[in-house]
Amino acid sequence: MLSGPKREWQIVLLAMAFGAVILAFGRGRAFTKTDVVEVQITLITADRGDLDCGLDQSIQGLSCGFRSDGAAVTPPPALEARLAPYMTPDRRLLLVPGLFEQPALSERYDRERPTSRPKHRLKRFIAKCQMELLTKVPKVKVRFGKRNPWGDAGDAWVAKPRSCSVQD
Amino acid sequence: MKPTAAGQSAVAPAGTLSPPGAPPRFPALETDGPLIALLLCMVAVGIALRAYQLDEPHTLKWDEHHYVETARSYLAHKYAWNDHPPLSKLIIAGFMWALGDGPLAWRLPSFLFGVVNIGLVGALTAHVFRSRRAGLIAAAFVAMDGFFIAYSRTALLDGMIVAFSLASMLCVLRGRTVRAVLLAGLFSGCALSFKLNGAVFVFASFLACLASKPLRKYSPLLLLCALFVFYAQCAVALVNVGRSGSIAAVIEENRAMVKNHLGYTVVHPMSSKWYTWFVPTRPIFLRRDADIDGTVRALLTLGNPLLWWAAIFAVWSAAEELIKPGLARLWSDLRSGSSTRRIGLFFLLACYAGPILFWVPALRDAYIYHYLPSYAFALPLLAGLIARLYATRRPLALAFVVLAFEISLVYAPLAAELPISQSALNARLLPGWR
Repeated sequence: MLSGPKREWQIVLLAMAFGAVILAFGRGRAFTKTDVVEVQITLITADRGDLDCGLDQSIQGLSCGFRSDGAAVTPPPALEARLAPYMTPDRRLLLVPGLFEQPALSERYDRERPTSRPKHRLKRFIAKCQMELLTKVPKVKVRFGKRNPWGDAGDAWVAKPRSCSVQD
Repeated sequence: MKPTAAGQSAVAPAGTLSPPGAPPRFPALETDGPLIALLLCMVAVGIALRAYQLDEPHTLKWDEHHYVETARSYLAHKYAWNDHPPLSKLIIAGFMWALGDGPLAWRLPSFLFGVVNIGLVGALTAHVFRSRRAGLIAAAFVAMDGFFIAYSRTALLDGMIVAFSLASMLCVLRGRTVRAVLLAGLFSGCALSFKLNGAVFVFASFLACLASKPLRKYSPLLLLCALFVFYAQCAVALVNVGRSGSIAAVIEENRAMVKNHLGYTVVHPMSSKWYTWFVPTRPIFLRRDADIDGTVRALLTLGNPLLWWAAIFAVWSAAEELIKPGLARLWSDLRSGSSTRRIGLFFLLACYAGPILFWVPALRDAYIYHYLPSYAFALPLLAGLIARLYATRRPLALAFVVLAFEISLVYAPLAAELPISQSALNARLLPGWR
């Protein structure tokens, strides 16, 4: 048991240190760069090539087609390295390169090409993808359609698709 | 280990009367240094947890939309239907006017009242127990408790009601002049002007005023002042939107509001009966956002379980202490009007029981957060008990405070919306709490 202020000081300082450990490390495993998670993305086939982001930095060779001031990146990034913004059904933003180059999505695109009908007549579907999470960007410009204005978004995950399936 | 001289004198033993007007004795730093350091650390961490990313999320949480939307209407001078009296929305509107319509302005009033609550609980406890040690313990408990932190981080009303009810009781228990009565009327009137269940504190303050020898003769002033405040804030809200601020208009507005409350028939899935609050069986997630990487940001109306259950024991213990010498003695204490510890205990108990009793016959559904004002008056009782324990069994009391600190930190991510994994979140919750 405690026997005096000196021992009490030790206990209290230990309690403070232990408290800091609880707060820092007691909240479950933190995200690491090799993590692969399953993510659902809500899409229509017209999203292919129609969604843009604006970001000044490049992340592991991946970059948006535009800078944060809206100017196009030159030379434009290759299709498989070009980030585009997508939303999960619960409104989380992701920046993903080459999503429609995934075989399941490419096949889905071929089944309902957006040229044949207006956007609002296209059927919305869910892409269920295994994604490698790379990093989170705190601020990014996004444009959901070439004719739409740019908007600001925050806390967007940059993620690389490993494999995808489609749910209609 | 033998208790120190400072420890022995810090809190009057059970059943004895403190000399009226005796100055509270502060624990000596050289003997109580570790305890003081820990308690101050708890207060500092509690304030930091309240402030952490206060402006996140940018969207409205739980019932915030009720109050923020009404505040927006007030800023636009448009009439808005009020589910509760308008004072809280007027305050939020004031912050939105000064800082802009954003999450910081919505939640800053709750944050400020939440910080003030720490000091008010400390001052009230120090006064009732004639012990600044007990006051500091109570302040630290409130600072670190998740229930209070949650209500300091949302644009909801209950944390603000707590502040006004504590301020009112502090004025009337400590005061000796008419100014204290007027301030108690002002503060209890504000509590009533947030939600109608604040009426409990107008009544409790009035009774405490009656029990105080120097204040007794001013008691009607307290009621008048509270009623004036209630009228004034209703009238200001009505005049602001271009309506009449007459007494008749204010009565009509409140009559419609009461009728609306009495007409509630829908039972919300997160509502809970008053007798379940002691466990509790149904804390409410004010926010629960899952991120893509599996982390969750959660805000749960759950206090530190150790403090929660120990506070109920403290309530029981205080009630026993009051009743043991006999009800006649209690009545005599109340009638004599001297400011004794027993009178303080009685009114802490009354303020604990009042908000619960309000919901016993209630026809509409109640929620766990209706227990928040009661909890604010239970923690001083617990702090008084721990301070007394510190004087006699010091290691045990210190161990309790250390344990309360650690458990609070375990639950801190659920009160301060720190990122936490789903499994770590679930590990903190009983099955019924998930």
